[in-house]
Amino acid sequence: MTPLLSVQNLTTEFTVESGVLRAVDSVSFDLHAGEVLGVVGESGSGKSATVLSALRLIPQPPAVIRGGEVWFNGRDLLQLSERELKRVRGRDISMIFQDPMTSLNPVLTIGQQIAEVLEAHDRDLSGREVVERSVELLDSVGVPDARNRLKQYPHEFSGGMRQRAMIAIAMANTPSVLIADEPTTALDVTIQAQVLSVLEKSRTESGAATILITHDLGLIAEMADRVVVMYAGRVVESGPTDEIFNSPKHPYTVGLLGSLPKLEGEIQRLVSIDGSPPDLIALGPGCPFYVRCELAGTRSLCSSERPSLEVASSNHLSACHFHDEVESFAQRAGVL
Amino acid sequence: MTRFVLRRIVQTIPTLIGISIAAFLLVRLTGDPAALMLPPEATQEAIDAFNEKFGLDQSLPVQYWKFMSAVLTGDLGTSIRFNIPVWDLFVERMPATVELAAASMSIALLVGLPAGIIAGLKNRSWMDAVIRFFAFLGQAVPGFYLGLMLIVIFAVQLRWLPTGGRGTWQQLILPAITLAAYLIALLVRFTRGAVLDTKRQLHITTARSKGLSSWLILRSHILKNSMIPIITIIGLQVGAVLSGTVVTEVVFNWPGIGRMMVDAIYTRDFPVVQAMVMIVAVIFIVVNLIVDIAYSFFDPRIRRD
Repeated sequence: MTPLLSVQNLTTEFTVESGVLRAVDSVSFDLHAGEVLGVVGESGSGKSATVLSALRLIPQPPAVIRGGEVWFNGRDLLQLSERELKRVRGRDISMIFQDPMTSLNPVLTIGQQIAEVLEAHDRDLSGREVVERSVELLDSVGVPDARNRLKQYPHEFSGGMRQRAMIAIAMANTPSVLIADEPTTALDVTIQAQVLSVLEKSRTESGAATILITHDLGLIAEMADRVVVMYAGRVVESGPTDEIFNSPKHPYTVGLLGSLPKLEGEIQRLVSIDGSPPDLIALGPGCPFYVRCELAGTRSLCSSERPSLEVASSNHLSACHFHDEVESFAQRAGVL
Repeated sequence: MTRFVLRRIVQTIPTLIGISIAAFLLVRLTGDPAALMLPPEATQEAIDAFNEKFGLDQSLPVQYWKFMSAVLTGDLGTSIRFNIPVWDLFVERMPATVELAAASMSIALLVGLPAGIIAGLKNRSWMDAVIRFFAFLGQAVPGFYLGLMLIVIFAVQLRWLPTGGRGTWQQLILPAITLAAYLIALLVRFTRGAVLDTKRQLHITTARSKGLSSWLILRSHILKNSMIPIITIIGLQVGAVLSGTVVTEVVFNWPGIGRMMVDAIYTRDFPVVQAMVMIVAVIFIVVNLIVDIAYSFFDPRIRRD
């Protein structure tokens, strides 16, 4: 089956004072129609930079997209003219961002912000139709009194309501791909669930394939069909969600799973991954996770040679020299 | 909105009282008008008569009380030097100041705003570098020097334009450019900063992710969000140029209120100085009020009532 969206060897670099930083390093993944693809990783692992690069939304400069292909509907998005790409953005592929306070324009009404995405992609809409469609959209994401609230500004909306409005904007043109970048991270825990169910409802009704970026593994377990794990700008593991959770093939994933609280059994201290993510400017020749990896120990292969992403089992890729040993390592560590 | 305006007007009363006291006392520190206006050989009787005529023989509180009660009835006093009402002097001079202010402000907006927007949008490009260089120059070169240089080049050497005075449009060009140079520099710096700041905000990425046209993003996302600092600086500068620009007016012999005020200070023409300071204060307050109302037009978060 041809994927709906296929990212191939995407590479993005930032030039900073101390050197060149490769924020996205040969990232490849496919998104199939109707599925939810979870992208997990620590802050700074390149999750957002990857999707922003794929749509060429990443600010250039300072970023430079060095290479790769992003195939969508038979076209490479990285080769399209800005004009052609604008027709894809907001119509075929739309985005939801993390913080609805800063990602909505404070000086435009919610109505104006919904209307502009409708008008940008359908110039034949009358003013009346735009308003009716906007009311419908806001209503569908559960904003009460939608007609009147169109006239309000973002600061007159609560955090949860703002994120619902953001979802309405993203769904306005029934996109075939929805990219949700940490959609609930900035929200109160009490309203995260509400916003998630709104997102889930919009997604199922429209059938949009979704890339869900998060560092919340619980959210991944609940929503994602497949998972891509990123570390230091690279994909280190990818596979179906249940496989990732039940038989991880990368020590970093084991670390992430170990830091999840468990419901059954005795409550133990939560495990954290020692150390911090590597400095992307000063990456050595070996595996970027090597210094924090308990499985690597003193093995010279890990410090000298960077592992490539290889098939570990069917549908399951891992960038670990010793991916065969990971599962038993996880059991020893008490993660599985 | 009406309530907001009324409240602001009431709030200006203490400000105006404070300014009137400061102006009243400070101008009296410059010295004795009688010594300046009367010949050195004037008799004590003549000096006393002069002081009595202008009420300068009374105690300071009494003088202030008389000045303020006259102001409240619309009488700004009479010039000691010209012996005509200050209001008439103001009406005579103000058109020149307004003309120069309008001309220089228009040039500044027409040049400074677009240049600042381009520099902000294309920051770190060669265009940004060129614009910033000229903005730096415009702020660094003092007005009197630029004015004199323009006179030397365009009036003396090339003989294209007159050296000064007011009446024809040719006479307006050099003083307007001199004043505008500084305003442009200031406006470029603030506009560039505001646009750069807005451009980096997350909601601009949202706007781009919606597939909006570049023009729409510039107009209704970047510019609208950049307007607060820009209109702040415009407001301050409109207030400043409307209250007279002494250096430019002196260099180009432009008969505006700035020169009138400086002359009045030199000649210890107390009523003129006092009244003009009050008028300028009112101009500043009105311009600021307009700026505050404009804020709420551009930013709904500070909209009142």
